Amino acid sequence: MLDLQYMILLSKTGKVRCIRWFAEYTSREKQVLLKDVISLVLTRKAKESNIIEYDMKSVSNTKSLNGHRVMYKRYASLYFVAGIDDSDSCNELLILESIHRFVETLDKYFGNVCELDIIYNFQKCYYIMLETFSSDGNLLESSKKKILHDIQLMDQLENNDSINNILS
Amino acid sequence: MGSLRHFIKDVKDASTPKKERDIINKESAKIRTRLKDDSVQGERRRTYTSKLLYLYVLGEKTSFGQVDCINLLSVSSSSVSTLNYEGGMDFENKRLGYLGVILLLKDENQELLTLITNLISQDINNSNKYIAGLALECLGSLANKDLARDLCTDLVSLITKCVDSVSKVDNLLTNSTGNSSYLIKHGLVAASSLLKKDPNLLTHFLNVDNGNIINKIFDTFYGADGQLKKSDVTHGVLLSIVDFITSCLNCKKLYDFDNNYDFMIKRKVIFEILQNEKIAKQQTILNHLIEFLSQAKSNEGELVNYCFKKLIEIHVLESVENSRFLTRAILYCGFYLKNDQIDEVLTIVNNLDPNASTSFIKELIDLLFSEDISKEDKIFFESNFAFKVLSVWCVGEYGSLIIETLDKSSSQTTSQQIVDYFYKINNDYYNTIENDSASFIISYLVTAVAKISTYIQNKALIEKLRQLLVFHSNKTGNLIISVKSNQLLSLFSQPIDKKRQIFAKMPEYKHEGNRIKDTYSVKSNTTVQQVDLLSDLFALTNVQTSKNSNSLDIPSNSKEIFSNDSLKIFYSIPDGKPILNHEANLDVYYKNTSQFEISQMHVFVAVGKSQNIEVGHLTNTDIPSNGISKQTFKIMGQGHLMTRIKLQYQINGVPSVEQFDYKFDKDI
Repeated sequence: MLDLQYMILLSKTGKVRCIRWFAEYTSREKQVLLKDVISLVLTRKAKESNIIEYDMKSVSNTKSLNGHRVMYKRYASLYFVAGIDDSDSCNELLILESIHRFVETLDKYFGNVCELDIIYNFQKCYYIMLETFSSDGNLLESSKKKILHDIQLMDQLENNDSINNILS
Repeated sequence: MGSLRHFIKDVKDASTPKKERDIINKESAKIRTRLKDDSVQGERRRTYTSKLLYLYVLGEKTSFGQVDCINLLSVSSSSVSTLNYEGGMDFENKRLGYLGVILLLKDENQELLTLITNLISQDINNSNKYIAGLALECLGSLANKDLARDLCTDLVSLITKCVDSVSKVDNLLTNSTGNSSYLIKHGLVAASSLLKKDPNLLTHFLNVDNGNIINKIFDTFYGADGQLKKSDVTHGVLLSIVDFITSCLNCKKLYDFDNNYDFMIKRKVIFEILQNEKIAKQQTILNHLIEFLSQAKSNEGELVNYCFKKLIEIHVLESVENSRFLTRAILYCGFYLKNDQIDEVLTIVNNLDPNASTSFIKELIDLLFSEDISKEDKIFFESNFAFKVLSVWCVGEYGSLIIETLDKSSSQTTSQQIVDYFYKINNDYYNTIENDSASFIISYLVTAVAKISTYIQNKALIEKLRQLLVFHSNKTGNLIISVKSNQLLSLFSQPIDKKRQIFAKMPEYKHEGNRIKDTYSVKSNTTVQQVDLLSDLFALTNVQTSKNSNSLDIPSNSKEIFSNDSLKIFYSIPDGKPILNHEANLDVYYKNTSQFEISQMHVFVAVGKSQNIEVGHLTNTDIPSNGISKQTFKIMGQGHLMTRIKLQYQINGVPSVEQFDYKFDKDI
């Protein structure tokens, strides 16, 4: 339904804070794509649309990734960027909404999240991403409550482990 | 070496890009050496792995650390009993290790994946649902074809187990799914990913022994009324179900028919494909199906039959674009069809709309008489009873189309070919007494012989056809066929135009029960359904007759009310019947101005609301070139004299419809 190709958390200075590839790209494709996406997104003005048409042909002729779009949404100093399939089944609003869900979950988890939280706890951010988006770039769970519940249980397990290790 | 936090801070606070680079390179080298050191364990190893992941986020090279992430997973599983006393889950290592594997191994180094095959297959059955969830996530994002194949059965049994346990919990807690929904969610997502990698894995998910997973899931989560049974099912689970089913459907489209999977599965796939025939790529699916049919082996007769039946049921073949598939389908399936199914096919062909039937017949004739048909097609002909019956029947029914329209230049050769073909069939199926299929096809053949004889010009060929009938009218043959042949023979000597009416094409057959109208009923096919046209606005009558006409003349005082390329219509007020007492008698003349014959003319007339019309018989429904047909209209009522006339006729065998309004300059 979402068919995300990738998800990148980008600071306004152009630094990647968190990145996950859902579609299959070669390292070379990833490099070029990332460079292009960063420059594309950062040069957007506030009033421009959140969707950018991106021509992949210059990068790759191996796959049918040519019709590919970049969607982004800015939250404070962080851009949440998603690569989306250029098909009719793709609903941009749904993608924006999913991104927003993800941000809300982060916000709830960290308690008024800021960029620093994500920089220093990038693993946690990844764990939440793992629960929110599935491996093929679709939405895995839309319930914030459920995600946070699961993450908290996992964190607990992790802490128990640390204590156990110290005890043993 | 400092903590992760330290490292991140250093990178963040670097004042110039060069300094940042230096810090990263230094740290990267450190991580590389430390990870190689096996004595580094536990917390410190995790720190290095975390830093490795940070390098990944920064876009640095991390390939050197891939193996170490895997080690993190395997070390923990081998040291379960020694390191941890309670439950031995070692969740910390698993969590970080799987995150590392998911990120670092994506799209790279496929060989390494073999290392994690075992790990994943162990972990997806881990008693801790979060470890299992991580393993499933890992499977979903990394799986290549090999991994998918290796772990598919594990995955199927896991999902089945979870779904089962939900149904069991069902009995205890009506409102909860227990812990299984988390696993079902992740399991189904992983399953969709695997299916994307290798559509053939679908067999595992649809395997009858396991019970159909999709059915099971539906039964578990939805009640008979379509309502969710469990109140705690999150959207995630539902999303994953939808995701999975979508993947299954996509797979069916890609399904590789060449593989020798068993009958049930193929049947299921065919069923599912055809159920979803609204999906855009109908043509592609049909292509696949036809190809499959063409390659079907003799032991697959049941399947072919099933497939064909389904194709017929969903009426997918009856459009103009798909007529090509219809001929092919019949060609390939014909071998397996039973006689009553053949009848059904004939009904379908008979009920095709004119455009579709034209292209269908074209295809058929091409197949039948083309010189350069492929060897395989030839073999199909030799053994294809249904196709023979169909071709015989079609030649009879669509004789005018075949001989007079399709290929005018070589109608002589076509006629010759048809007669030869009939003789060949006749020779192949001579024993009409003992052989059921012979009597079946010959009974169609004699009708076709009579029908086609009306369109063939060559006297010698007609005589040959007559000889065929004579042969079958012989008393020693099958009684039914001989009776039929005798009847046909008696009609054979009738004048050509009369014969053409008698042997006109069958009307569209409306299904009443399963059997096609018997060929005998052909002779009484001149009834016409009443068409209820504009019934609330106009009174309506339609009339048609098959009387022959004497030559007519159009009176000199008549007026032309309509004309097109082939037809002119006049009316006149007959002598001694002036318009009086709210009653008008009109004679209407139809003149065929084309060089072809107009046949099967039907006239529908409607008049204004305040009037009634009685329409007389057409003197003749078939009008030869330059011929005239006459009809009387008797209009009663009040008001201005107006008619709407609709004409249906065939010109040169091609159906045609005209409708026009005419306002007379008279009142009644």
